Amino acid sequence: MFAILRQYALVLWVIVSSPSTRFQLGLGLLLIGPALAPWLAGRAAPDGFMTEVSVVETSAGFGGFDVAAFEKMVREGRLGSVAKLDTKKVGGREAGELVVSNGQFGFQLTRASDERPGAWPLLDQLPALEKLWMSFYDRLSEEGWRRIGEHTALEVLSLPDVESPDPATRERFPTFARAAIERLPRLRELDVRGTGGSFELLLPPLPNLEVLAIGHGRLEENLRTLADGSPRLRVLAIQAWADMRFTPAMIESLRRMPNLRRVYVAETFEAEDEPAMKRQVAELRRALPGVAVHPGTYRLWRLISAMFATILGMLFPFAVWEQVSLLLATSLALVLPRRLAPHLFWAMAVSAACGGGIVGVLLSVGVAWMPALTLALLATMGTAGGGFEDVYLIAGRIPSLGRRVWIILFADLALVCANAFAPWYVDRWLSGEMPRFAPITLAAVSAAVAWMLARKARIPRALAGPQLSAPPGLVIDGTQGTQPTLQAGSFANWALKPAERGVDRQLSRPIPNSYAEKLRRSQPRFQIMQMAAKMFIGMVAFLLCIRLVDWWGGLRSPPLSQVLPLIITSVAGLTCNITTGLTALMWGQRRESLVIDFLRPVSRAGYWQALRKAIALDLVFPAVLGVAYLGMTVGMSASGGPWAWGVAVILLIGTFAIAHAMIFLLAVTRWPLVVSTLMSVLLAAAGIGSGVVMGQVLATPADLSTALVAAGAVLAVGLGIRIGVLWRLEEREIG
Amino acid sequence: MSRDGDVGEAVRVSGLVKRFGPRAVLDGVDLEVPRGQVIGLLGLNGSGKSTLIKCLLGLLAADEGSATVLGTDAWQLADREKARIGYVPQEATLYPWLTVRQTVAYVSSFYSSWDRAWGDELLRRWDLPLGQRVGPLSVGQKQKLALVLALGHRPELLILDEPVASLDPVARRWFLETVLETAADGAGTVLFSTHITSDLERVASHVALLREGKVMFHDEIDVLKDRVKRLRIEAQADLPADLHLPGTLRQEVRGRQALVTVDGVDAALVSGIRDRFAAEVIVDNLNLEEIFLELHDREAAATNRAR
Repeated sequence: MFAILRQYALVLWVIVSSPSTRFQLGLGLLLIGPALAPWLAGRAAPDGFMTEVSVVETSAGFGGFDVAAFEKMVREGRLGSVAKLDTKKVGGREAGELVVSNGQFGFQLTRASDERPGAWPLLDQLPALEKLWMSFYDRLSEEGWRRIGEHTALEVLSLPDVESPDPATRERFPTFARAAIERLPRLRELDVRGTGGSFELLLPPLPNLEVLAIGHGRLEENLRTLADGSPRLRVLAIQAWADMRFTPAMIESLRRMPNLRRVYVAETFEAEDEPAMKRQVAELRRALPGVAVHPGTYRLWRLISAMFATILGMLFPFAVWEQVSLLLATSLALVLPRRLAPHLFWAMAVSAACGGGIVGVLLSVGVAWMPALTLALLATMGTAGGGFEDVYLIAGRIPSLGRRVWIILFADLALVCANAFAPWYVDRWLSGEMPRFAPITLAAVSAAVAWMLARKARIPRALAGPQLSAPPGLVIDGTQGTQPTLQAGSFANWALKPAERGVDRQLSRPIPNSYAEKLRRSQPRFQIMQMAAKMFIGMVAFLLCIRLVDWWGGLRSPPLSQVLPLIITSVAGLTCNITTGLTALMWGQRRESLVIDFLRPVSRAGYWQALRKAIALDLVFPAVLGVAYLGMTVGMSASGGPWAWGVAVILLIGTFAIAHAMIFLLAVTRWPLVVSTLMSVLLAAAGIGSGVVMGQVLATPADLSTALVAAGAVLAVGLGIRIGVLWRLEEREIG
Repeated sequence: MSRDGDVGEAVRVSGLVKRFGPRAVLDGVDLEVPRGQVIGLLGLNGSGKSTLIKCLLGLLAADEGSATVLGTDAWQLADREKARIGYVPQEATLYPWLTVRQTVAYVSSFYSSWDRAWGDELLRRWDLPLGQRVGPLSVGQKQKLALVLALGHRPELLILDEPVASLDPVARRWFLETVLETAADGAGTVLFSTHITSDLERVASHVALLREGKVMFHDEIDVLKDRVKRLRIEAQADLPADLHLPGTLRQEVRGRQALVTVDGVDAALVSGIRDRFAAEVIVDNLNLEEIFLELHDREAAATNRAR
């Protein structure tokens, strides 16, 4: 018994003490660190708030209005052909008025929101207006409604929470509104949630209406009118309230709408009202079996918590499974008796512990048990995957350049994409609102995990010799003992061909004079760029899938002009982290070969200088990505002033100073275990720290002192390490 | 004389000390290797062979003493000297993601003197698959490739650190022939450490034996063989436990019979034994491996020291 316990303890020690385990944990933290920090600080998405599903925002919410095109038309005096106007996009985030004077267009602030005139003379100059989106800050007087009513070509009208500017006429607001709206026969989309405040609108019949978002006031009457007068109504979003019940008359009206396909029931934006919304959704689902009924708001906090809890919980099992795979495939493992059980025990134990943690966190943030189980299974056991990929890596000893992080990356990417582009779908699944889809995903993930584990169990056999079945893509070459080679035409071989061709291209160019460039000629560094391109393509493909689902479900999709910057920012951030890690991996792999490179015709001083330069040149691409990421983050933020840029630049220089110094040290050290661990910790800390600092700068731009101190600290650490590493460099021994 | 007319030793080491912590791995090494010589470096594991080679290559700095290679301080070797040196380590450290062809292209770009025809000839001779990635190559194939990379620029000084252990017999034969070719014109100097003494006997003219951080013997192999012999003694009566023969490396006495390995055997010594113990003495010639074993018989060495 003692011997078995001792054996298990030793196996655990071997797994934990591996530098690879620590490196992967560090790299994982580096990847998700910057995003993780705001979540842990509770700032990523405050709990207690619900977010609207996009259907009720109509297309303007995604940027369907092109400000630049509008301004151009104003400048060119073509106001008569303007078809769209979105007051939010042209400065309507504060009380003010849109004015056009002498061909110039502008937004003129007023002293207080309730002084804002309800109708701009501007509207009179837009006879071709078809789509009008107004904001919470806008006010509509009788005059304003009259002007809107004159735009009989309007097809889309969105004025949620717009009220009267004059307390004296607020009671008559619904009357003005009805009079105006019934003059708009071409109206297809209408958003009047909260319009008029407590003075509730009574809608007129609208024969062409297809999409409608309304409040709960006079809902019974409005639904009856719609059932009688809006036969084309397809999508209906109702902003309910917690104690509201759907009366039989309401149900009856809804049943009489012949084209109704989808109903969204949105609560107020308080998270505590979520149970009420779920009850109302359930009521309508029972009453309207042929109609898809969904919640109209979702909890961003749940979504983000699920994402980070899953990714964080994935890191440890990922590193342990990876290490177990490597250990099982060593020649020592092939001859050791009873090797499988202790290795698998620890991998399963870590997976179970992390899986339990994930389920616990997810249940606490309101995730249903089946999606929670699915995510936990995917995160902890899915990382056991790889299968023959591991064999191939181990036997072929070909640098994977991040192949091992693809699982984390993929999950990260998918969740980030889902979070960015289609959070309502994911949250619906998380909150248990997809009762048919949830068991399918659980079954699919279970099957995938079982398949991966089965492959994993075959690793030792696959390496044992040619008499055993060879794995797909690998053949055992009889002339080379048990060294598997890549089969021509196999996927693995095919996947490496671009890398091979890239090196060929590098080597076919004229021989450079610079020793640094000579050193870099052997590196498949374009693979790093290829990875960035793959990620971009992957995100676009993911986006297209989401748009397809949106189109199929009748939802509006955000326009590419808004989504692409988001994609580019996400890709830049992720690839900046990952390419920095991969650069470290690459130079770490070159460590022993660099001894031989030192013996090429180069002086001692020239060698050290070239090595520094080569690593610096390799970090240019990650640094450019870092600049792109920070630039776009600051640029897209409303609070990104010059100081934010300054802090971002300091952080970037500090972080890359750390990266350069530590990669250099990793390439030349005699203690790769210590250095790789230290590098992982330092870079993860710098990455997380940078995320926190930038979050603070953008959240509270007025208070910069702490951010500047923190950024200065990162810079000081980076430069300090750099000076320490490069100190008396030429006296350093090699090998 | 070297190709560019330099004269003098290819390698000169004087009082070289290298410590790792308190332990001196090299403890006052003296060694001179003239140009055109093929010299083998012999020693037990941990005797300091690899450390000596690393000091010669400028990878490690000497704590005391000096080491010059091709007339230049080893620590200050410039690109000009390095272009004249070839080196093969114990384990070939290559880039696994490159193919054989790419590896040769990569390495050759560092040398203006790379002899492409010679490199191709070596690749063909050792039957290396040009399109194959280096990662999945066998250990022996990698070592062959490392040899190609070390020889392709026709170095004046070839330093090999146990290069043939993983080669098959055919490849080893080719390798030894190539080493001989390198040294054949008198311009190439070869310094290689190995445990395969038969190979050393085949190609090396000289040998340097390292023990406990010092060169305990450095001369021609034939001189070593002439000096160290094994004596088989059979006396009329029981022999004493210790025969007290000068230069004894190892002795084994059993009653009237004894086996004694002696450094410095001559006719006078043999005749003296015959007279002193009334014994028959047969002198056995030893090969390099046997001499090496006798020199490193720790038990005998301890006995000798005690004596």
